[in-house]
Formats: sequence, structure tokens, C-alpha cells
Amino acid sequence: MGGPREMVLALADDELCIGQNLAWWIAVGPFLEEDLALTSISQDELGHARALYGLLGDDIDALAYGRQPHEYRSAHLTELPCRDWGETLVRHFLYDTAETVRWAALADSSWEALGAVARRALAEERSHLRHASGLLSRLLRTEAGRSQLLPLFDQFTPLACELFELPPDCAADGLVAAGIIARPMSDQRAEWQAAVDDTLAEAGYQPQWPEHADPASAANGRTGLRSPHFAALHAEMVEVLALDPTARW
Amino acid sequence: MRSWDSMDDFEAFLDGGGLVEPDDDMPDAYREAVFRFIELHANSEYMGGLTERDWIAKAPGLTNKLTALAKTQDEIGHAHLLYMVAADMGVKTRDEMTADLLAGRTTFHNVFHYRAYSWGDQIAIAYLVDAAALASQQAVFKNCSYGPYKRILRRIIAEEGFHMRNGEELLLKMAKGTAQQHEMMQEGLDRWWWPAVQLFGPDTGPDDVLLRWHIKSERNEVLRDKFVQKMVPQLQAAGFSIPDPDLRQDPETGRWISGEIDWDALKAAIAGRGPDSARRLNDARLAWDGAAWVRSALDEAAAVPA
Repeated sequence: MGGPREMVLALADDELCIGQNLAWWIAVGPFLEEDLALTSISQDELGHARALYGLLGDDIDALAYGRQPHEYRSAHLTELPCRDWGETLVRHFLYDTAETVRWAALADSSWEALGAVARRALAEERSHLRHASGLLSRLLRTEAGRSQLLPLFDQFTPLACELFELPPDCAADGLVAAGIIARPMSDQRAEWQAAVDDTLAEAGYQPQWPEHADPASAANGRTGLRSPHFAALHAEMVEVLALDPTARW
Repeated sequence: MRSWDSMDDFEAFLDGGGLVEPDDDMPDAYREAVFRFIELHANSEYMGGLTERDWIAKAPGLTNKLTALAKTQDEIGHAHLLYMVAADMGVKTRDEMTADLLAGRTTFHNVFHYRAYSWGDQIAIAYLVDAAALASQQAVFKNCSYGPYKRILRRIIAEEGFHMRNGEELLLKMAKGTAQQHEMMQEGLDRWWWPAVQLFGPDTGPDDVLLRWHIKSERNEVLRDKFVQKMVPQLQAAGFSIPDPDLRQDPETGRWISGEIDWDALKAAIAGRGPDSARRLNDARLAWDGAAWVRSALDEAAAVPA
């Protein structure tokens, strides 16, 4: 693929994995209102995946489900199952904060169809972020919330940094020059990190950010290396499809 | 607040098409009966969501996944609305209803005591169970005397109609699909036919207060028969068989007559002794208990100003 198409594939794969993992929460959240909220968000994310794959080809299911694991470009954070609700909330906050920054940098893309997807997604992302931030700030006012959630930030932030990495063959520098993205991923990552810091500062907490000499060394998912969680996630996604590749469902 | 001098006056009000509202001074027996009915409906929507969720992750393709997710979200949305309407009746709080459900002190519909084993089962649920539930809900809506319930049934029925049509569409795809798809669908129908027929319940007794008080508007056996008359020819036309060896057609009227219905299976399921009852409730309990800290922390946060 190369260039912007590789970038779009990575973003689409992030959305596919996040959407799949969030869908798990239907009927098993802390209360029904929360089940409804998380599954609305899941539908939005899967809808973004569909729109992004649609920029790359007509057969969306072949792109979403027809590749071998090493051909996916998802960030490892999105592949985590997060079957504990606290884990899901922390990832939701980190991811949707990141998405708000990433989509904003694509909203005026010179790839017009991508810009249109980004503008639609941005409006939804803001409501996702309100949901995550609202719950987080209320829970961080309690001792139980702080003890459950704060350690998870240190666990997840190193993985979350990968959300601002791009696949090695997409020539990231050229994307800014070509007007595909408004500013470098490193700038976007700095804005995201500051937003996360601000929210956690309200709880008197400073997350530990990884210091990579070479940030790209953390970008494992973008190179095609899959996390240990991906196999189960992917097996589930394709279980029925794999029964008979000629069948139409 | 309206009140009635006697049960006769109250029943005359109901017979005249009157709608009871939550702040009315309704007879205790009516309040209790309507509450129990709505609580059962709410529990069933919630447990229905748990039944379907096994196949959302595995739904073939993005469109099916989004549709399955939206459908299950509708069911949970119904449960949410119904629990709020039930709680407004002042008999139990939402938390009490959840605790009773998870402890097995209250019940939910028989069909949600079974497990969905395949994508074919998932379709059979949409096609058979949603159709059966829709028929029952339409009959309640038609003449429902409790205002808040009638109003949310309007929305529930509209959404269940989409679910049933989605089930029809997916069933036809399986009918026209590969041999493996056809077989998978037939197996799903074999597993879900009888639970769906049993969902309507045994014949309505001679003096059912739910009929007298205009909660139900139709007898169970009438609704069940309509279901059988509609489903048998549809399934046969799609090339599927009905797992009822004694099913026969009356040569004169052309009506389909089911073989004997196993009401013990219905009773066992509702009593929590169905094939998947234990796992279903255990999943729900684990989820509820696992997130207890979230509920109590949010309560605590609400009590302290920001």
C-alpha cells in the first residue's frame, strides 16, 4: 500500500479492535446505562473502521477480516481485552483523548474523503471523551476509584504512545508535506500527553511516561508484530466467516 | 391523584378504556400484578441481552456485527426503560429487582434459559423468539391499562419489529446459502422452535386477572396458534422443516395443529432449571459483583461536591 494508505489501515485496525473489545461490555457493565453508553461507542468505532476501510477498497469485510495476523497494523493497546471495567475505562479515556487529537489533525486533509471521515468522527469522539472524562473525574474523587484506576495509567501509557506511531512504510514525514495530516505525529502525541496530564493532575497524579530514545521502537503493532491477545480476538472475529469462505452471510 | 371506591369501580374504569398512572391510588392487587408483569418483562430483556451477546463478537462481517450489537443494545435499552417504569410503581427499587433476579428469587422468560450455540441459533432467536415476543407485546399494548407501560411498549414494539425483519432477512440468506449454512440454520430452528412455542405459556385460565385488568388483551393459546399458523408455512417455503413430528394440517380448515407441547420444559426453565440457567445467572452475578466498586464509588462521588 504505502504512504497514506498504510496510515489509514493502521487507524482502521485500531478502531476495529477497540470496537470489538468494547462490544464485549453489552449486558455486563456496572449498570445498564453504562452498557448502553459503551456499546454506542463501540458502534461508532466500528463505524469509523468501516469508513476507513472503505477508503482503501470496496470489499470492507475482506480488509477487516480477511488478512493474516501479521498484516494487521493495530496498536497493541487496542488489542488488550480489558475485561475489568476499570481497565476499559482507563483505555477508553486514553484512546478517545488520542483519537480527538488524531482526527483533528486529519479534518482538513488533502485526501478529501479522509478529511470527511475525520470530521464526522471528530464530533462523535468528543462525546466519547465527555463520557470517559466524566466518569474518570468522578471516580478519581474517591479512594476506591484512585486505587483501582491510577495504577492502570502507568500500565497502559507506554502502550498508548503507540497510537501516535505510524507503520514504518508510510513515510510519515511526507504525509505532513503532502497535507494528508496537519502536523507531525510527535506534535500530536505531545498534545495528547498534556491532555492526559491535565486530567490526572486534578487527582494529584502524574503518570510515568516512557522515555524512548527512539519512539518508533515501541511501535510493535504498527510493524505487524501482534500482541499475545490478538490471536483470540481475531479468532473470534472470523470464527463464522472461516467456516466457509464462499458463503454469504 | 385519582382513587376508586371499590374494585368494581376500578374495573369499570379499566373496562371503559381508562389508563392508570403511577400517582393514582390504584388497588394494591393491581399494582402488584402489573409490577410483577413489568419486572418479568424487564428481567427477560436483560437476560435476552446476555443470551445474544455470545455471538456479537463472532458475527460474520462488519454489517452483521453492527446489526447484532444494535439489536442487543435495543434489548438492554428496553430492560433499562422497563426497570425504571417498574421502580416508579414503588414496590421495589431497581437495585432490589437486580438483587432478586441474580439470587433467583424472580424469573425471566423460558427462552433465555437456553444457550445460543451457533450463528444459526442467533438467527433463530431473532426470527422465532423476537417474533413470538413481538406478538405477545402487541397484544399487551393493544389494550394496556397501565399508562407508562403502554407508552414504552410503543417504542419496544417498533424496535422488535426491526429485529424480527432482520431475523427474516438473515434466515433467507441461510436458506439460499451453502449446504453448511442450511444445515446450521435447520439445527438452530430445531433447538429454538419449541422454546419459542412454549414462550406463549399454557392456555390462559378461566379467570386470569391480567386479562380482566387489561394487561393482556388476548389469551395465550390464541397468540400461540397465530404464531404457528404464520411460522410453519414461512419456514417450509424457505426449505426448512419443523421439529414437530406430530405437526399436522387440518384437511378442512388448512390450519396447522402442533403436537403435544412439553410444559414441563417451560416450568423447569422458568424455575431456573433450564439448560443454560446456571451459567446465565452466574455470568450476570459475576459482572454485577465485579463492578460493585464502580457503583459505590460513583455514589460516594455524588455525595461529595466536586
